[in-house]
Amino acid sequence: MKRPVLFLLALLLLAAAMFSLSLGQYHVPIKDLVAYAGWWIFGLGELQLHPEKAALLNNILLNIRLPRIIAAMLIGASLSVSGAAFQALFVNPLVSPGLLGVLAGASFGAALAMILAKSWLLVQISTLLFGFVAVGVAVGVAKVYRIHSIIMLVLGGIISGAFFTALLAIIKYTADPSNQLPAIEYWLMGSLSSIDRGTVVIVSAPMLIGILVVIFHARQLNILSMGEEEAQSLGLNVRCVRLTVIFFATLISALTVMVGGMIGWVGLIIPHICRMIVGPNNEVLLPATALMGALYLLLIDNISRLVFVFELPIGIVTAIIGIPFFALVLNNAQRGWR
Amino acid sequence: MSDLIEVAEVGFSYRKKTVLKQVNLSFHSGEIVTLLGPNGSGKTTLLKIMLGFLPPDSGTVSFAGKPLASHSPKALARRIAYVPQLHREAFAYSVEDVVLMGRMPYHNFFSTFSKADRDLATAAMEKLEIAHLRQRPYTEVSGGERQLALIARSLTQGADVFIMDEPVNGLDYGNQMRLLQGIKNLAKEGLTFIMTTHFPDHALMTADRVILLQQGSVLADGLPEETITRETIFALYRIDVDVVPVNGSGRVCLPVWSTCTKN
Repeated sequence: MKRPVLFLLALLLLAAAMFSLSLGQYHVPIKDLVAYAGWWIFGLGELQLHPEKAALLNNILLNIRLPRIIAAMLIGASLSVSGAAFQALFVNPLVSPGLLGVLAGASFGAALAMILAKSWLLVQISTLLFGFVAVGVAVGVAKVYRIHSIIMLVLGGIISGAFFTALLAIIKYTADPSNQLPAIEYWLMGSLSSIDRGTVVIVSAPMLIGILVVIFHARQLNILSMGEEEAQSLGLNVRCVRLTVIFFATLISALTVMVGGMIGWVGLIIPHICRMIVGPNNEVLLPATALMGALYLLLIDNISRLVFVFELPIGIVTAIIGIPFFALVLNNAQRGWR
Repeated sequence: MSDLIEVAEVGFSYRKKTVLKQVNLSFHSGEIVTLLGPNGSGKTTLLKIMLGFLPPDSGTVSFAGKPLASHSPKALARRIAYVPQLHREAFAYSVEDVVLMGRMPYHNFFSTFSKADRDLATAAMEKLEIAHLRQRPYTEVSGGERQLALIARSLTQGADVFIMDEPVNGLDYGNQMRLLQGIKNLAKEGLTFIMTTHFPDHALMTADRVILLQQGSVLADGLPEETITRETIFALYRIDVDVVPVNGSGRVCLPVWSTCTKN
């Protein structure tokens, strides 16, 4: 009954991706796009385009637009799915993917590598590494006190997040204010403008796998959101499910920071909107949030790169558009969890 | 009757505070056992140890002749169901979704709920007369209906032992009585109920056996009419009561107000 919604969302996403490919400073008519795609993917017919134009299209579509579109979709899906999964895991619909400190840790890692290392690869590795370190600290703090409660984990997350935010402040303070500090600040605003094809190729597989693993835990998350003891009484290995979901949610969240910097609000807004549409059952909700999150960030990215004369960081646009919308639907959104 | 659950020399403490000391109990199939005792007497802790949520500091719990820990979580879930106290839920799953959760112990990671699973859930909901609520959000039905949904889930789970922590807590009088009646009916089919309560009357009405807990020790264990007396209730709660027969069909526990106010 709710499956058609998923199908519809998938179709919309596909259409939006096609549409986004044609949008930009250099307008590519849908007609040319279809002809080019048919020729490039399926080897259909003779390419009717001038060779010079074909080379240009090749560069614009495959090297610039497509990587960016894929990145936007993967980031949107990752943040939304990890947000929805955390909300079930922590039995709280107001939780966002950064709860255990992954975003703070990853930001610190990125900033640290930006001032110490010159290589882009090191920045990326450091981002991912410190995303995991921060979540490790949160889980570790919860473990030290040996209280098997979600509250300790949340407190661990708050502690870890605050700690890495403080470390980030130190990095910013010591950074060279003429070039390093602005670079860090822009990074934290979140942007997809510096996406390169190589990065997207590398992160696509782990992000997709991470998203799928989390989605496949839907029923386990349903049960876990009824409370830890109930889940255990239904035969669930609570520890194992919790750690697996935390691991993969951390992986995909840290990867979003690695690709596009800090992009806030998506992980909170999209699960809420989806819960209004398909209800709280994670079996439908998680795939719906993945598709809706991808669609949302794709549209937001189009706005951020096209509407203004200059390109606005996507992290700012998600907040500017997302927050008022969230405020508008808040009354409705309650229905899913009150 | 065979011993289904055996609690032997179980002791437990939270940090420095002793909650249970050398508790020995056995539970048989097909009986309704009510645990009675004041707040902090260790009732809930005992249930949690019997469910395997908490490992005891000393002593053992065995189920069907084997230590609890030697059963796999899924195997245990197919036999023992847990009905928690009424609590506020964060997500508005439909009643049917909640009841279907009872089929989880029968599935591996990839298998999905089948028509047979849904039929079992429907049968359980029909049995407890809540089938008309199946599409309603679990958070919006009444407390009594929510408890019934959880019992339907336990039936769907295929369990034959139901462990319930204050099942009537938060229900109005009518729903309390309907729930207790439902429990009595299910016990006639051979299901075992182990539940805690704050109401001696409920124990007198439903229980085959009553266990009184006081400061982590068993004060009495036996038939309701033998265990719930003026003396034991005073020992547990410091309240004077009369346990009086009514119409020859049962007993009720009435507080004696004059002495209560004097205290």
